[in-house]
Amino acid sequence: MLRTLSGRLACATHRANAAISTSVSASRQFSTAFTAAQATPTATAASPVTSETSSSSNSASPVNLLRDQLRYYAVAEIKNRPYLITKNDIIVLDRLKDVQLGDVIELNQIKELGSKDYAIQGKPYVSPEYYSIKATVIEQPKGKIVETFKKKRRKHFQRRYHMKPLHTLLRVSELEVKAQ
Amino acid sequence: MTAPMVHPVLKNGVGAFIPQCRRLVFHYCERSGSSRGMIEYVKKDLIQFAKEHPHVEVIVTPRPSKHPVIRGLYLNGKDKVVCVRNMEPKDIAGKVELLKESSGNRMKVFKKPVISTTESVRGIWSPFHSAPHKI
Repeated sequence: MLRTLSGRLACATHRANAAISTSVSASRQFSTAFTAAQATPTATAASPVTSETSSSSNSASPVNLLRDQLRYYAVAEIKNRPYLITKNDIIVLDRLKDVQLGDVIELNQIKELGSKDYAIQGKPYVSPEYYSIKATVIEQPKGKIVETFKKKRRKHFQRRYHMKPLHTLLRVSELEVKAQ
Repeated sequence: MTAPMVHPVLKNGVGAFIPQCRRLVFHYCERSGSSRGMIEYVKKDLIQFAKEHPHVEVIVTPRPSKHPVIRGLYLNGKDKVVCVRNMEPKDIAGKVELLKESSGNRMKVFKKPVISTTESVRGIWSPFHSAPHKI
């Protein structure tokens, strides 16, 4: 708790400097970033951070502020599902048919990239030039038997379905924010 | 006085990836009918599999008067045994893939989408360190 408090006080001095669009909470700074080619065409025009990112070598740019903090998280979208990941995590997915053990997957659909006091929210995704996120396929196990029981009472109807879900486990081997 | 045992924290996949299956033992019976598919698999498909996966030690041993069985041994010392009686070579290949791709851990229910041992990045919420509610 003490560590949290001192960390927040230390970062309070940054808030005055950064011209970042804020969300409702006073303790965290959010920045919307326009995306690369896969983005919707209207993203760049509406973004309030357009002026910030044009001077990309500025050390107070949102990405550099985020990068100066110690640890990062990302909300990655894999097969249309969000996964909040940090480095060394294991992601449990439904079985991917076209991967082998040891394959390294680069994740490029990142909805949010954040640290303790700052976050970059993508519209819809964060630009890939800000991060590098890789995951290795470590295992493709079968899960334990799952039973689905259906019953309609007084109607003489009941069913038991059994299935063993197939999974793919990914280990997040790299989660880095690139200096701008 | 001996020093306490220090166990390394293994994170397979972060630096290097090490496949967890290290040995597959194929038991068959030369006489019984339930081993027919297994014998055909061993003759046709097993050599190709062994070449494609040089990290797996493949052992073929007769086990008379018993059903055919594939036993997988893993790096954590545990093993998984699959009986393949009366199976076709195609189905046996599926079971071999299953053994090759798993680790030695037991089958379990994965309740959460992400398994993490790292501390939370944003810290635990506290009412004393967050912005007061405004109406």
